[in-house]
Amino acid sequence: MPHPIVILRRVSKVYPRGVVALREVDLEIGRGEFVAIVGPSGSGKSTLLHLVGGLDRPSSGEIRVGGMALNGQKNLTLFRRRTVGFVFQSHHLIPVLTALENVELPMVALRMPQDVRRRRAAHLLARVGLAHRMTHLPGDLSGGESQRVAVARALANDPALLLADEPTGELDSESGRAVVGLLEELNREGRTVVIVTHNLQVAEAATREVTLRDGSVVGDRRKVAFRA
Amino acid sequence: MVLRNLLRRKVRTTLTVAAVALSIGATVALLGISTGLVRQVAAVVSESGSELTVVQRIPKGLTFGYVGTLPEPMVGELAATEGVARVSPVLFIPGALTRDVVFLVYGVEPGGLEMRRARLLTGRTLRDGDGPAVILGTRAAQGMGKGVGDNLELAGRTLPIVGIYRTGVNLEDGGAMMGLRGAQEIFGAQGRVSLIKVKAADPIRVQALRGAIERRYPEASALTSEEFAADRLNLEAAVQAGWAVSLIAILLSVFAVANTVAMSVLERAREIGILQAVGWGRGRIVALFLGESLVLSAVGGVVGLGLGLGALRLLSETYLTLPLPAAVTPTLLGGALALALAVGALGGCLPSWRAARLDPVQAIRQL
Repeated sequence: MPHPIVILRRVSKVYPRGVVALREVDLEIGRGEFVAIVGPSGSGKSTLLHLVGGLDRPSSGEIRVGGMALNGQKNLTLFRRRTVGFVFQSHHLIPVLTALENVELPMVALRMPQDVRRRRAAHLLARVGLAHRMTHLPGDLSGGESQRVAVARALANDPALLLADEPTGELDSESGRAVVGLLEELNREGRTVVIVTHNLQVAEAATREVTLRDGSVVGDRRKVAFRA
Repeated sequence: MVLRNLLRRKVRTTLTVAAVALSIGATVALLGISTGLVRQVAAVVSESGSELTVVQRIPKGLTFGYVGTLPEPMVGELAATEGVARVSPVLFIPGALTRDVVFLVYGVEPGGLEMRRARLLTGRTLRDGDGPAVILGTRAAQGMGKGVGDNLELAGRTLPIVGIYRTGVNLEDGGAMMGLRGAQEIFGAQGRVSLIKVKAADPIRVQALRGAIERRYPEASALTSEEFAADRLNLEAAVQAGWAVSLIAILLSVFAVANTVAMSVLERAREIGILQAVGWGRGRIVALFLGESLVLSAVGGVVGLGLGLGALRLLSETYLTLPLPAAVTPTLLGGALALALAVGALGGCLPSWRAARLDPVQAIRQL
């Protein structure tokens, strides 16, 4: 695969008390792919996502994302700020901030001027179909709406890589389909999307399916030919 | 975001603000009173136009608070000393008991240096040959509900009140003045005085005069008004006691702030994880929680300042057994606010630091 955006070489993660979450995983993800990482609970899916997103560090092996070797970085904050956008199972919006302000959060870290932040946040919320809910607090939003705000937040700093960890896990099927549909659109626009899911129907939306079991890659299926 | 987060837990925020407010209020009140005491006692001895106050030297083994007496013949001897322009003896009776109240009695020479500062409001001043008559300070008169023509019961004697005066010094306005002879007789202090005020002929040569007096009278000390206040009336101990109580109150409020911020960090661990995930650095997370801590303490400081000033006003205007003077200075006000911010910074620094060091994965997974 030429110029992959994500490269994992013999990556392992062992937690304290000897729990092996990942065992010497080799994986490459190309720019613009839509990859679903599937597998039973405890297979290491979320761990893999956290390592790729710079939220955690491997016990051994090498990880390169967007050309940057994560192993050598003392502080991964800048990497997370500029390169990845996260969507979690529970939307994790800040309850005292409006939808607009939640979307602004990543841009605050970039020290973007407030008026620029506001305009971009408004644009992103419109992009996810929530222009009419900008001033609402998370408590006033449905589960699906909250998750779409989370998607908008993940896009705030225009990341090369969008990582979603069970984004439909807490949603009803209709809301879940809406969120997955949004991720598909973003992928069609050229964004690389990696989604962790145990829901096979959600995995169907992806163009590539990587299966993990007991911390190892046991399957890697491309549904369509990938052209980088 | 800081304000909104504080308002999420209104009760906890209010209690923490109250803790800070009480500690700052107590500090303002205690230090205001102790500073006021120092100032007013210094004013008592400085505003009578004398540069030195001669008192009995503190005997070895005794410390602050000792008030001795001097032999009355020393008054005439000092008046005749080279370099002395005028002398004025005072018999100072603290804690004189009446049926009504405890207050201070000054036995003075009618027309002496001490009388100059007593501005007569009603009645007449003391005169030579008056007999057992008193003039009452305006605060004492107000508190006792007495006026010219009434009597004052003092140490078992009935004394007519011939005038009401005001000096502007709480200690004196909360007491009474009477002729020196009468005071000596009533309190069994014939031939003794508490202190002798000395006005120097040449204010520039006060130190030389001081040395001459102390050499001639080894049993006496010739003090400036500030020295007198600090050495003789236990005021340094009062100030230190004020600081000690304030320090305890401040430490308690630091713990209150630290506890509030720590609980907030615990409850918002998942939010912290999200902030880290979206690229917030440690410094920004510290600033968030420290900002909440500082806002808490700033609000507490302002409220506490109000409480402390209110307490000072109440104490200085209400006639208690001993009128408490209060000094509200810009230093006190600015210092109180700065102290409040310091409470916030100290209380919030450790929990804020810990918030920034949370493992993002662990934090996000927290239920």
